[in-house]
Amino acid sequence: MIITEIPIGADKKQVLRSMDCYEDSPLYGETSELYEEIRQQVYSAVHPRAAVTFLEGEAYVLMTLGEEISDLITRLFGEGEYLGGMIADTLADHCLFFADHYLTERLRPVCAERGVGVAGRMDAPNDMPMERQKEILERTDGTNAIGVGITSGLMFSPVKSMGYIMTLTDDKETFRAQHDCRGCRAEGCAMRKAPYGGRQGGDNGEHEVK
Amino acid sequence: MSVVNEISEYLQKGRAKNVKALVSQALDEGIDPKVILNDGLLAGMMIIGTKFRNNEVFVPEVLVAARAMNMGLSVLEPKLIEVGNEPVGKAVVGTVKGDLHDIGKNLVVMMMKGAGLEVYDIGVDAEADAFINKAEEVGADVIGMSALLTTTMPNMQTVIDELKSRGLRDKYIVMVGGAPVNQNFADQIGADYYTADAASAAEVARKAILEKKSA
Repeated sequence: MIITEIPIGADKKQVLRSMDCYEDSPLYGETSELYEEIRQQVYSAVHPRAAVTFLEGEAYVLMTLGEEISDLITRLFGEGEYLGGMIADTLADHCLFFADHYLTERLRPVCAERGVGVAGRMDAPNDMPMERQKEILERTDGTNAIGVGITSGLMFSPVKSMGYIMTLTDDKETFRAQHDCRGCRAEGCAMRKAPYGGRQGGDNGEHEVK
Repeated sequence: MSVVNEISEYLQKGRAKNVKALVSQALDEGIDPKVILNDGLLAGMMIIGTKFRNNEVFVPEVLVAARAMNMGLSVLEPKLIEVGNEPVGKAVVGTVKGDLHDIGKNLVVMMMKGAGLEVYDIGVDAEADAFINKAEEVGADVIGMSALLTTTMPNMQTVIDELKSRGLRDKYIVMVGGAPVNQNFADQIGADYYTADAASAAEVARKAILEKKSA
């Protein structure tokens, strides 16, 4: 299945904090103002779409924001608009994760209709080898379906893309499809919602939605 | 405070329009363009780089300072060409084959420019030939490689091996960086330098070039 109606959103404060720009920083006002300019450009440049394939025991999910956002970021850096480029890149990452969160919830009723639940989710390289990204691409027909490719380094292209495998269960009540920061080895991730090995944090931020 | 010192101060604050105006003023006052560059713009960027490494400032402050530097250079560059100013050195920088991550690479390019290097950004997913051919074409001093995946790090070795097979290894200073990269890995593959962040990369590149030229 291909899903194209995916909203985009981000919490401005969280985006700025991801860039080490805090409310008490001397640059907060300027960065906050620039964020509003860049946000418009980013939201115009992201075109989220996803491809999902259910097979026996597993479901393959591939999502992308498209190529245009990568071009925008490259252009901003190329023009010397470094802060703008960084805001665009960070905001795009937040949009991707917001879309991921939406998509997993969107798949909840789909799984229910199929009589399955989700026992867990595997993201590369944390939960499975990078080689399985090729499998995700093939099984979702990602290139034809949503224009995603894969590099020789097994990275999805365009760069603002992500893929994962959901392990399915007969227990329809179980739905562990969201990325869990607690078990994630990316300790330095600016979007971490729980300390490594800690309790999953709630999302109390305000998300403005496109 | 002299106008050159003011340039450095405003650059550190990221005041791009002020820096541009002050560079024009300094030129009007007859100050040597090389002095404006070295004691104004580069000096300011060096201070910001040091502060960043010491966690006294963060990425946004570095970015606006670099932008201010660019604005100053936009006025200064024609004058630098007139007086025959040469850059400190030249660097070819890219993300290796199979890897599309570019933010770290972009920051390195930005900081190296801020350190007075002429930088050629060959982009992402770059083949070994792309690094080497560009370095040969422009007469580079440094080849800088970024990788953010363990699956792509080995391609740094590929570039170094290709340099060796062409008999060019000693011609270039090879620098590596990126999240999964560390000093052990750099030593293992025969890179000259590993740096953990963009500010260090710029400082090390500049120092290595100056040392090589004076040897």
